[in-house]
Amino acid sequence: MRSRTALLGTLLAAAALTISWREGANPSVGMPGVHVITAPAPRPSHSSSSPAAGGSSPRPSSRSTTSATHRYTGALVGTPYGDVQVQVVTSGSRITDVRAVHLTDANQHSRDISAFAAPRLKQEALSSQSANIDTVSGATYTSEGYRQSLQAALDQAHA
Amino acid sequence: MTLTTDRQRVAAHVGGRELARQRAFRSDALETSVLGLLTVTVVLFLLDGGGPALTVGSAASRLEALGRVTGLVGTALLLVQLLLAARLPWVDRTYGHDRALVAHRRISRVALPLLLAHALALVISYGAQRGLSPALSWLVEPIYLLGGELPDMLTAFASLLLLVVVAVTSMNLARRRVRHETWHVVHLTAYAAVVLSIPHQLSNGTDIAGHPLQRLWWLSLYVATAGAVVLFRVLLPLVRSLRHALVVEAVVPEAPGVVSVHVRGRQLDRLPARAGQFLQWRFLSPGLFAAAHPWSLSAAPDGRTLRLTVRDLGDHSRRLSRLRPGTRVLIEGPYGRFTTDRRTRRRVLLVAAGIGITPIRALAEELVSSGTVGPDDVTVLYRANDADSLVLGDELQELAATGALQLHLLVGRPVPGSWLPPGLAGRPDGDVATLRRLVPLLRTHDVYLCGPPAWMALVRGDLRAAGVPRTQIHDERFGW
Repeated sequence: MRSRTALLGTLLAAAALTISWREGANPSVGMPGVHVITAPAPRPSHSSSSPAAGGSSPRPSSRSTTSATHRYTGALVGTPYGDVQVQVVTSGSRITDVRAVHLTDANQHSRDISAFAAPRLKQEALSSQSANIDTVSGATYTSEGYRQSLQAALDQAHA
Repeated sequence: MTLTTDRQRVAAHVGGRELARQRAFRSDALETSVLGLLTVTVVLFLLDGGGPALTVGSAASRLEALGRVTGLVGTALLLVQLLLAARLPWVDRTYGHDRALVAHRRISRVALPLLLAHALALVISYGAQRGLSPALSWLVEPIYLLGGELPDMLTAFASLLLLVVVAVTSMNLARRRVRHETWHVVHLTAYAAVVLSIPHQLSNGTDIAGHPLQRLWWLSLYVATAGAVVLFRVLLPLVRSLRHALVVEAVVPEAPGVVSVHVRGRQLDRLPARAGQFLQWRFLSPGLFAAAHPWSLSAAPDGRTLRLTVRDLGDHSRRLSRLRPGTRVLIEGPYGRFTTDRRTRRRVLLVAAGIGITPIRALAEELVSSGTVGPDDVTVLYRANDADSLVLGDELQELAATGALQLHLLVGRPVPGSWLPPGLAGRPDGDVATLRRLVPLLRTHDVYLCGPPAWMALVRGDLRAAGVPRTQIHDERFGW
């Protein structure tokens, strides 16, 4: 290769790599493949809906009430490795628990990843008291789905 | 000489410089595409969060990211290797088949380690996620994976194993012990290896499964590569072989252990074969049909017959002497850019050693009959170990006798460190001075060089020392 072409090619390649590194470092901007299957439908505040348990209709976001503790089920978020859906338990304005309703399960490896990532994601949610949680490395999709579903659940909680 | 031939003389060789410019442009274009291919591959990985995955997080997850990116880049390089060996006319015209295969070999020294690193990194990383130590996981984790934990692992491991076998049988040490036919069959399984690796990329590949853009990118790479291979390695040779319906016309002994095979066929004037090129020849007779061999044309194609001259190198070439007239012949090619198209000067020096004389003999014939050279413009230096191995020497002497070219036969046993025979080698004023004496006006010649690689390196060194520009030295490497 002539040196001018080599130099130009190397510079262009380096620029492309740098830009894509930066873009890719922030997956929530536009991560391909992650999309919300069910938008969180805001519901009238005190509807006497049936409990979400039983799987009869897990898809619409639902809210069930038990004394001061509230449960909000987030949106079902689709990822290339399976759907992610979480339920958040609040007491007053505090998040007391996050339960995984569904996690990425496309294959055994993604089940392993889910099992590995879920406790960490839950811990982050509990300590930050928000959906503002860091991606668990190696579980980018699970993390992103988790974050979106959790955000949808919290949106209902704050509605 | 008439005025017309003088004008032709000028016209015939100015094309070489223009050709060299085009070639430089084409090689830039091809190398830039390879760079672009690798860049896009890594860019798609990085856009998917590959950067942080490589640098942040636990050792296991970083190792997994490393396994992903090595797999992607290794596979891209593997496809480049397939394309380099696919006999693409563009690649052949730009680099020549010999150099394309040198690049093919060099790339394999990067691609295979990357693919091995890919497998090892992922196995250890998955093992670590299971709680296995690296010392154990490389052994245990594959059992889990092959046991069905991930789909398509069996084909993926088989693919890697095949690639390792292909690489091992191609190492210099092994090449000397393995028959050419065996090596060739083993080498063709590399295609199977690539195909076997596809399922696990589509089903598990973190970077491919479920990513429309990446899927499209990789599928189009595979389709393009497969298309090129099928078109240029299979269909084009088949069409040419059928169209020309080649058969053996005669088998002529040239010297002890050397035979010329004359092949005739239909419409051979439409086969774009040039003096200095070679073809892959496959003779459809028992014991020979299994493998095709690259042999140069030893006569300028006359539009009616082709001639190849083969020295007894192995079982295969020995059986050639028993070929019967009428035997059908399949061809791939012609390949190579060791032709008079590359001439940049009027004067031409042809330098050959041993069986390397075959393309040189064809070039000499084409030059002399082209009318583009004067009586002193073509010089042939022909090095042989003894008079018996002066294959085609009589034909060259006939050409020399008519005054069409200058011929120097350099006969004698090999001299270490010199390309010249005893007597001429190691004179006090050096081989360069001897070369200058043999070829007056050396620097104004285009030099065509063909022989064993070590010998060619010596000649090339002396040519450069005598001031012949690199752009005027053209060579053909016989790797066989």
